Amino acid sequence: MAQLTIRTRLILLAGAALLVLIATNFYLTRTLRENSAGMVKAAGLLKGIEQADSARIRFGEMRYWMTDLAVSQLTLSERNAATARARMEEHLSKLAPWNPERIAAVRGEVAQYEESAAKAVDDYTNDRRVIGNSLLAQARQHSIVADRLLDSIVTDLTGEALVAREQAVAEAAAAIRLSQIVVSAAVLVGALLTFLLLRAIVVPLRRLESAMAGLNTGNVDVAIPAAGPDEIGAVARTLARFRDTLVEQNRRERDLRAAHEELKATQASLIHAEKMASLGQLTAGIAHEIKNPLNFVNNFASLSVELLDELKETVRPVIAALGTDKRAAVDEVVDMLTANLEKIAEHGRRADGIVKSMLAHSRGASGERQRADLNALTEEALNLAYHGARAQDPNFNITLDREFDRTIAPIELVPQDISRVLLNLFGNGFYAADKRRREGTDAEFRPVLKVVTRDLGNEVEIRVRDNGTGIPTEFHDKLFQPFFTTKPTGEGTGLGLSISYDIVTQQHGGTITVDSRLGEFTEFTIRLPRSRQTATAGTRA
Amino acid sequence: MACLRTVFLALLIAGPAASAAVGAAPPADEDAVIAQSLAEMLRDARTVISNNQELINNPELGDKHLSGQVVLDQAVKSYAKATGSDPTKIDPNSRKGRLLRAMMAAIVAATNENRATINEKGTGFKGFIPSVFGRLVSEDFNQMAKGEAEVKVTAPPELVRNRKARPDAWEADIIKTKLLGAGWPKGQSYSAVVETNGRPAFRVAVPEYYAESCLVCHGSPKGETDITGYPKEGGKMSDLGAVISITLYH
Repeated sequence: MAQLTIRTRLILLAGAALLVLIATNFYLTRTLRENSAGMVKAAGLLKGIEQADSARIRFGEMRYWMTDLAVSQLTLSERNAATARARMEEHLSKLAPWNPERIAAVRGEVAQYEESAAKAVDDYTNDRRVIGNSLLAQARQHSIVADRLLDSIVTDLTGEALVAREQAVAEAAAAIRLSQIVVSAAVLVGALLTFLLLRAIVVPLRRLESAMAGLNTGNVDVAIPAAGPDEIGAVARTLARFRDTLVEQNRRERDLRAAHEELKATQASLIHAEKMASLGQLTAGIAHEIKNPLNFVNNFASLSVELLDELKETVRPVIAALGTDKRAAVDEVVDMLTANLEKIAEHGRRADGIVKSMLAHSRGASGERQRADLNALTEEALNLAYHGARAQDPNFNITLDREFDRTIAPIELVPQDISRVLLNLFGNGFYAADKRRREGTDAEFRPVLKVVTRDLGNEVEIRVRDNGTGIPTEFHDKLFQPFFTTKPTGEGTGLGLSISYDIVTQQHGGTITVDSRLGEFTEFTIRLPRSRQTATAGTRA
Repeated sequence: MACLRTVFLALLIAGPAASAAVGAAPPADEDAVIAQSLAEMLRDARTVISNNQELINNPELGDKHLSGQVVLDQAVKSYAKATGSDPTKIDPNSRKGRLLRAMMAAIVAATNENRATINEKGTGFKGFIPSVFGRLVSEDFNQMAKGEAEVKVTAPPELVRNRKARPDAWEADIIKTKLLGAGWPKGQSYSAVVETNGRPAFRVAVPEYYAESCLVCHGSPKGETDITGYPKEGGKMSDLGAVISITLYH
């Protein structure tokens, strides 16, 4: 049944119902015909009874009129007797086909009665009463026999009619019983088939409806009913194709969205790169213009310190000759000049460092690409950064957690630049972790810097994660911009991440992203392709 | 049959009508005269009975003083008036006289045989009507004539009430072919010499037509029961209602 189409099933169901109807109708028709034949037979027998009764009545009339004729001699009686005789004959003629022999016997007796009675009447007419009586007595005997014959005919016909009627009634009752059974069975089977048919239609339809509802909400993983050979199967197949189309559309949409996001990132990277380039050119120009006067300032500050030392040696006897108070005043002024000049020299050197950094930023590539061991490079930078930090602050301490992928094959890069990037990231991580320690909100807090390297096949990955103060979300977009820093004035130039961004993306075609949660952690992820690519964008997580 | 009294009674003998001539037979004229006389006598006596029906059927009166003689006397008077001759004066030895006297004796006998009925007190209709009387007279006459002659009052078969009055084959044929024939003159009798019962005989059929008084029992509406209990025949005035059949054996 499940292999058939709904139309075929409906046709079969309707055909079965029609078949039952036709069979029942045929049976009832046949039974009714037989019953009708039985009833016709019974009616025929009743007609025969009626004819026999009528014949008896007419015979009685005939006898009456013959007797009346014998007495009255009236021709009216004779005519009435003849009429009754004729009518009796009509009834006998109608009865004759039923049992010709018995009717012939009746006719014979009636004829003999008639003959004797007629003779008797003639004798009465001719005043031979005794002879008439004798003949009438003979006629009476024949009339009794004829009457008995007719009576037996009526009795037999009545019996046959009763049998025929009872048979017809019994057949009708049997037909009714069988008809009721057939109709009941047909109703039950029809109901069962209808139930099965409806279930075979409704259940898959409900599944289809559920699948459609799921697809409508975007759930492409919804189960679609198995496609049978029927119309519902065709709908299921269509729905499956629709689902596949939807899946394909979703995939395309995802691809499109990813492409769009990539495009946006690329666009932002290009804008940023352009900005960086402009800033680089600007800062390079400024740095170059500042560097010469700054050299003068630094050189003359150093020279002034030396000249002041020479001056002190030169005037030392003179100063010694002065009184104590004046000598102390001169020494104080000289010391202040010396201190001022040292300050000038110190800040000049600092300014010179900034200018050098700006020039380095604008210079771009600073070395040759060569195959290098990334883990060794990272370990070297990490040690250098740690000891540098310890040199600046003997109290500085941090746990270094290394998780290096020892299977990383050597990769082509510019070692000094990548080291510069790593030093920058490690320094920032040390600063943030130590800052959180110094802020002292958590007595149990222990600064940790974790460094992870991984080989991703076509590219390698370096993750630098500290458990420091974290970076506010609103700063994520500005981290890689030149001169952006969250450090206090004098502690950062705001160029470290900007230079790192350029080294990773512009020089090595990689990516650098940041993920951070305020008060918990900051993690930078660098990915460097093994094959040199065009500069891509740095992204932020 | 008094109802036919007003009917033209002249017996016209239709032709010599000797369908079977017999040697030494009396002249046809004599036969015709005798037959006419017998018919006239019978008709007159029947008229007397008809005229006395009210008396006969009077339930309050016992003896009606209507004896056979009384009836005969009145009939004789009528006969004499109709024929111009006294029947009692006809030679009793003549054939005519002998048969006429037999007729008169039959009239007396038929009446007297029913005097008890006639005089029965408390009974209205007694059934002693002209037709019954005519049949009784005929029957008595036939016995008294001793085979010399026979008289019968018959009628067309459909009008015969008593089977004794049924026409025989000759009578039925004459009624059908002659008296009821389209061109048969009203009132004309038919006579013929025919062999009857193995003997030559002069037979006369005298037609009688319904009069007003006849239609009381034989008129309309047809099928309605008359006073005798018999259905009326639906007859109309001047219809052939009866035939007096007279057979004179040679």
